[in-house]
Amino acid sequence: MISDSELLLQFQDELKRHDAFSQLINKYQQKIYWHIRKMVIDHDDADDVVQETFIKVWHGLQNFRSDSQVYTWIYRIATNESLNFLQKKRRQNHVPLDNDDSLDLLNTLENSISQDYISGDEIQLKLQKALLKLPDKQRLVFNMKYFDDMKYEEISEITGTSIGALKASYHLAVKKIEDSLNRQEASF
Amino acid sequence: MISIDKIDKVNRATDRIFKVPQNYFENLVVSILNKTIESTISLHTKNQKQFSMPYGYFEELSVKIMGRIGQMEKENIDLELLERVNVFKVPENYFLALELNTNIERFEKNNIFKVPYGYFESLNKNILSNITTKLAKTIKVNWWKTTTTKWSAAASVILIVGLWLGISQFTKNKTELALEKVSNTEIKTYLETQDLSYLEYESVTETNQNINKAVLDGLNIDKKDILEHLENQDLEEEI
Repeated sequence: MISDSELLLQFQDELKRHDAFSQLINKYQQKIYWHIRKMVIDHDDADDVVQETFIKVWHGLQNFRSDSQVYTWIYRIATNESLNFLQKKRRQNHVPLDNDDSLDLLNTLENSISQDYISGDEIQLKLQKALLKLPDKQRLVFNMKYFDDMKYEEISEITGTSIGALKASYHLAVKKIEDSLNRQEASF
Repeated sequence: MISIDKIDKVNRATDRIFKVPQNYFENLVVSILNKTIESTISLHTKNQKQFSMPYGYFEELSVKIMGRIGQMEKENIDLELLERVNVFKVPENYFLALELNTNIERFEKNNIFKVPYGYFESLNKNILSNITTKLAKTIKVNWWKTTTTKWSAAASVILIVGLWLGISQFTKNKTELALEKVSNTEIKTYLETQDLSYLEYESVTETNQNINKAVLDGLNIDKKDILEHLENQDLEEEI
């Protein structure tokens, strides 16, 4: 597979730009899609955010300086787009600030289940529901660490957060999720 | 005719018709007493023959009794010395199943989300066509053709740079300054309105060390990092 730096060089050449960008999309579309999908839950929403992300990449890539890796930079854009999307969606749905934000995403998850856009056993669904109760940024860190097995160093680069803060966030997230699951177990 | 009234009532000792041996009554008391003594001795001898005991029984009896007492003392239950044994049972594999259901590190990390058939095959094309459409809609205007525009643009640039320099002086180290001045009550109010949990609030105020210690133990996380984590829950990211 062609390297990112090679793709960047090709992108600078106006004749090769489209082809280089097409290869870049092919290279990262799945990683970026799943990263976004786990945040916004709904496929159509994820599709919108993915497209917006790559359009921003297109515009930004011309001025991209390789002081960080391309994929880290794309992840940062995808992360920001996802968080902004969630904020906008809540505003549009008039979710009051003091209300439980998770309700909105829980409804989205339920809709996805009913539309057969979600598969997984009971425990996986419980985990997702517990996850949706976390604040967005904590959920983001949890997804990257838990599901994507990313290193704290990588997550730190993407989110611009220190490794210590990420560790605190992740371990508190784990604690909250396990507490939530235990409460569910105890209620049976 | 004989009438009993006419018979002499012979009761006098000299006239009685029944006789006893000489000195009978004198010896009677002595004879009875002797018999009583004999009877007692005989009974004692008889008892002695019926119940017998091993040789030296009474000599060993006290040792035996003291031994029993010692044993009973040993058998007295002292809770402190008692071995702690859990006598309750749970169904087989109960804890394993419980842990599997609640310990997320043991979950299978499956991707439960699905995409429509052929989605990724067409995604590339869709993005490129979007870009092409947006580029086609962009109208290019050469702003530098008119002198008025040139001056306006130059003035705007100076104004923006001036504002940026001025604002940056006021916002220097704003986080540090802000945290120095903010009281715990204000931090609490802030956190309560920012969808943060009790645990996160606790990690700032350090009022309940136990809960945080359990969660953050061994992570070597500075308070500074925890504050940063909290800031990241809400502050705008400059990405």
